[in-house]
Amino acid sequence: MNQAAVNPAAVSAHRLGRRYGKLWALRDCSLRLGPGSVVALVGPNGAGKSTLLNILAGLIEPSEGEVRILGETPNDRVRSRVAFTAQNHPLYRSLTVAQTMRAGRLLNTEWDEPMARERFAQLDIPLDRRVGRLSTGQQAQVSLTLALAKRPQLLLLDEPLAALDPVARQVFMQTVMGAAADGEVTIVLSSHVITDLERVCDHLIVLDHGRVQVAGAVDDLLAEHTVLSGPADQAESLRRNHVVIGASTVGRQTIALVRGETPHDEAWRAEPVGLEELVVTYLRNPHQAALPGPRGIVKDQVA
Amino acid sequence: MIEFRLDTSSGVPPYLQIVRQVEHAIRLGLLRTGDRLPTVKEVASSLAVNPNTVLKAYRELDHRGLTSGKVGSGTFIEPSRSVVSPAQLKLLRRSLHNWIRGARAAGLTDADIDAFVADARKDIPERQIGEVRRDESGGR
Amino acid sequence: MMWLSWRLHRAAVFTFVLVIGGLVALYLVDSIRLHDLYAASGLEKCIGVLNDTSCATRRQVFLAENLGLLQHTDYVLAVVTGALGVVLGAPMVSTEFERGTWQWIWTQRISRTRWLAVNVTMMAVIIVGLGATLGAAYTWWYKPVAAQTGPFTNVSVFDNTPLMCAVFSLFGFAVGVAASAFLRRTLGAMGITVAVFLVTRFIVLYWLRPHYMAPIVVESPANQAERPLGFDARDWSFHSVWVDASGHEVSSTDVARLISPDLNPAAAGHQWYEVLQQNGIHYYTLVQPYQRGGIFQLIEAGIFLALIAICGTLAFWRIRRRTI
Repeated sequence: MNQAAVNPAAVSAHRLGRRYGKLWALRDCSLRLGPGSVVALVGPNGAGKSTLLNILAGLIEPSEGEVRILGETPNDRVRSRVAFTAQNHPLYRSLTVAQTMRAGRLLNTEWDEPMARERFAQLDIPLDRRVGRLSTGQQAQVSLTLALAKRPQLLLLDEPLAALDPVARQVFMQTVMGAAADGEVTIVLSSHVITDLERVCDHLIVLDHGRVQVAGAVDDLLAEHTVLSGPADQAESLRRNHVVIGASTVGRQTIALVRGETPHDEAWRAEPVGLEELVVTYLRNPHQAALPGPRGIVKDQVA
Repeated sequence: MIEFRLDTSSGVPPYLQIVRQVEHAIRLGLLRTGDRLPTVKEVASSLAVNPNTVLKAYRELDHRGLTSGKVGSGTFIEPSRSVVSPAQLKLLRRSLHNWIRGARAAGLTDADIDAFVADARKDIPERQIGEVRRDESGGR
Repeated sequence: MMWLSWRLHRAAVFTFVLVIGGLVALYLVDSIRLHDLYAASGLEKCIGVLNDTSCATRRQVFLAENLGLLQHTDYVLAVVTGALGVVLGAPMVSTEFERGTWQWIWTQRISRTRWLAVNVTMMAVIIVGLGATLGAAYTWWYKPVAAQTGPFTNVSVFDNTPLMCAVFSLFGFAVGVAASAFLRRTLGAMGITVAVFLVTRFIVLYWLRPHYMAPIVVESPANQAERPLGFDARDWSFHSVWVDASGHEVSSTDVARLISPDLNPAAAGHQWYEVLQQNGIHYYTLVQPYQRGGIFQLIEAGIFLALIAICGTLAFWRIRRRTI
């Protein structure tokens, strides 16, 4: 059965690259995001997350490679089904909330005004206040509502939590998960802090220095990696016989992150790995990768 | 209605925490037969957690026979024969205390004990709660 | 989209409406006084009269004494028409980048081209309207002076008509929008716009304007060099030159050398113009007759419209390229 035909990917990118002068912000990025997934896009600052999201949003053209959004090459029509909130939630500060909504309604073909109004009522955001006078958390909610009112099939959020306090963060994520539960939307959130996104995402992409280092379903990634602790003098043989992503030795003990098969002898104690530990270990070992396809053990995730 | 809480530092996967909280509530009589569980959207929203996680939890509860879901009308608690009486709980707790004293005397730390229990538990697979009841009444 | 564009720009537009409205009111009110004075002065009979000392003196006196404070406002007009362009044009694209809102507005259904087109069209109409109104008020007020000096000898008469005011403002606006699209910084765009605006106007005014049509060449005998015959006081003589018998230009230093008895013994005992005549040297003046004022304005407007089109094309082209 042709998976692609049955389950067209929300986003499919092939060897995407973006260059500024001599500097490649993004290089050789290939990914497939299945419809309905909630994807965490993680990586250190400057890794290329914003560049990637801007390309997916249709704001920048890649220097090389191809990308298909919702099955089409980026064009005006597709743009109306994609919603993007940039870092710092940019809005026209001199407009009131109601006027901002009006702008959104006028500039889009599909618009869910009742949903937007209900959301503002629930969040206690006054419609007649200028956006510039709202708190950062409220501005983030206005920005998110603008995006959701478009009824997008692809929702791209660039560092949505960075400027928010813990309460605002929770309210924001509650809204996003509500939208995810309604179904029919693929969500990509970027952050340089994985813990923000841990319980929210079901897929993970790790970008480092412009390249995709890890890509796959979170459940699969966690199932296929194990944290082993054991004697340092057996670390070498561990490396020889298993796929060790990264290891650190303190005194006589070594702690290693291993992918795939784990040794059966009792010298090594196994524990499941947490998402943050997984991401950090990969980031610290840039020559390692966990990608779908024959190279990696992560199953090819389509949906 | 049940209010869920997730403890991110516990090491227990979120979906399992939800399952256990439902089981716990059923055991203590806080959720009764016919009660409706909140919708996937309600839980996902209030916990700010991936809806698939909630779905997974609900599927597991359904699989264990604790709930049954009808598409469109919600998930309901099934008549369950798994209510554990306070007396049973007290007995179990006492025998566990004895065991722990023995383990401490042997020199196991808290972390060792947790690992030991988790490991030993794998030797005896978890059964459907209805079956446990049958075994008990058959005299154990 | 028009609603959004208006909503975002209305504060700036209102400011200009106030300023320009104020100026228009001043001109209209003062024109009553000025026109009455002019009618009473009888200078109408002096229109175009050259070589009449009485007319020349009375003209000078009238212009010096009666224009009042408003006579200095031709600079104000130049500034206001330039400002219309700079203030309304230079921030157009760059504020979207500075605010970050480009990442919202350009991910909506509207295309970038349409977005710019709506913004630009709306502002262009407003700017042309404001510019033309200001020019009309000024021209009405300045009518007596224009009648006396003609369109060329007094730059204000040429530059401050409704047509030219509108065109200059629109040009400033077009440069502003193009600068905005390339620089993406408002302050920088404003600076560039002012610079380009001034340099272009300067070049056009001093180097191009005299030559829109082939000038009339007036040859006058040396002794009447200063006062070419048969011309109107309103005509524009913009270049004068001594030419020898074979048609080559003779510099004034050479002329001075020829007519000075110390440097040229042959000049002794003769009138200076006799010496020149003997050497076959004539005085040529390049003149644009005053009647060509209207055509010249159309030609200059055409030049600026072409420049506006170029700026506009550049702006649209830059917007469409999705490279930041």
